[in-house]
Amino acid sequence: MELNHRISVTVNDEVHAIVVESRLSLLDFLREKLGLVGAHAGCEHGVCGTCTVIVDGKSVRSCLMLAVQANGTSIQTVEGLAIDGELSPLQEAFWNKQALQCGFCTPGMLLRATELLRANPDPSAAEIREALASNLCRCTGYAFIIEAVLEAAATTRERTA
Amino acid sequence: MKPAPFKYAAPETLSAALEHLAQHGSEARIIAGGQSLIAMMNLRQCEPKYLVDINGIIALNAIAPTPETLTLGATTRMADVEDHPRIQRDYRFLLEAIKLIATPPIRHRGTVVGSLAHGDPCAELPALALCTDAVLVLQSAHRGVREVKARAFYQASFATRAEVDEAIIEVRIPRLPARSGFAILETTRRYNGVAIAGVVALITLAEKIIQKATIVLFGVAEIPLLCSSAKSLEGLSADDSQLIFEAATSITADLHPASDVLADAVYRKQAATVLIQRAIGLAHERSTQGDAWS
Repeated sequence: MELNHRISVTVNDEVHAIVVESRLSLLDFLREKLGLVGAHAGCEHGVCGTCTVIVDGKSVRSCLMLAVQANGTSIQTVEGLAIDGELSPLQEAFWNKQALQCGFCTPGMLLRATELLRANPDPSAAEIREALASNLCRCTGYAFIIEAVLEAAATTRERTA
Repeated sequence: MKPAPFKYAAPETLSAALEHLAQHGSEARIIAGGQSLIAMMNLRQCEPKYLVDINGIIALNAIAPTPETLTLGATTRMADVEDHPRIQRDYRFLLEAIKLIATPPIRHRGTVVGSLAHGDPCAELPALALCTDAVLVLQSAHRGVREVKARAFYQASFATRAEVDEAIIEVRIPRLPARSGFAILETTRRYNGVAIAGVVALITLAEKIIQKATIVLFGVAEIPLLCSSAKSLEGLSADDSQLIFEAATSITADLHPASDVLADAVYRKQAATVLIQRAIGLAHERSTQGDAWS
């Protein structure tokens, strides 16, 4: 039983070895230790989804996971979506469709939608709604977010066809 | 950092984990998925001094379906249960319950046994475990293994009969009986939110006549309730919605649910009554669809 732990985590393909306190959440680890402030601190008890990151291929609430539990995992955050400054098709579609207003929910929306499109490259609007039900947006009413995911799915299918 | 400070260990063996519990007693908590526990710690509703992470114990990660029983280890995640082809075929009722629990990112980490251990009176899985007469297997460092029926496990809100040095190592969930119908329904303020009232219904039928009815209510009392008054449904025709509603009214007659920010007692009771009626209707409909729901 220890208060502090040395962990090694791969974040957006970069390995970080850092000592963390047991009670440090994965969210605070990303934001405060690594300076990756894309994952937002919203409700911090698992309801809102704005802290969503992808851990070993699956979306999780980074507020409900301890940094020490992420030892040995590979994590993708919103900072890892654009490659060499070029937006991912999903980010591009969010831009085109004005799928954000204040932007606070956007990182979680992008990662959850990224996970959805990996599993299902041609989702229906209903499937997108179901998938994004995990993430709250208080500005947009979701309509443009759904449209953006549909557009990104179409673009990605064309590019890979 | 929101939780109070604590010491943490992630042992690789069950015996090491149980040793930690034996040593630290009520100051220690097990963490599996952590999707309820960390939220409570963030809100400082609980402040364990020692956290024993069991996720690294490979032996606890089993999913073992047999023709009669499904055994799930303590770290089996809800999402892995959902993705399991054999469970999709033979234990569809369990998936029905899991799909009411929060949303996929929570189920990616949340565990079935963790939900059973947590003892939230509004939770779906404890109620399901009561309805199907599931068995919990508990183990401690010094007293070994014992089995406890889910029906005897819940004591009060968030309080169970597990001793402070015990861990639930697995749950055994029986398959549904032949010629049965199953339904789990709940009322929530938002999509898959906390249940204001919920019901798990299991009926065995001969033609349309209800031979046996097991009704468990959740969200309406300190613990999930196995309703002995569900006998009033027996002998009724499952498609006689008026008589079913009257029986449902008698089942909920003695309930005294709490009033809180989500709903008042009168609403909860009414919701429970209507949900029983709907669940019987749905269970009956499914019982006519052959093996899919058994």
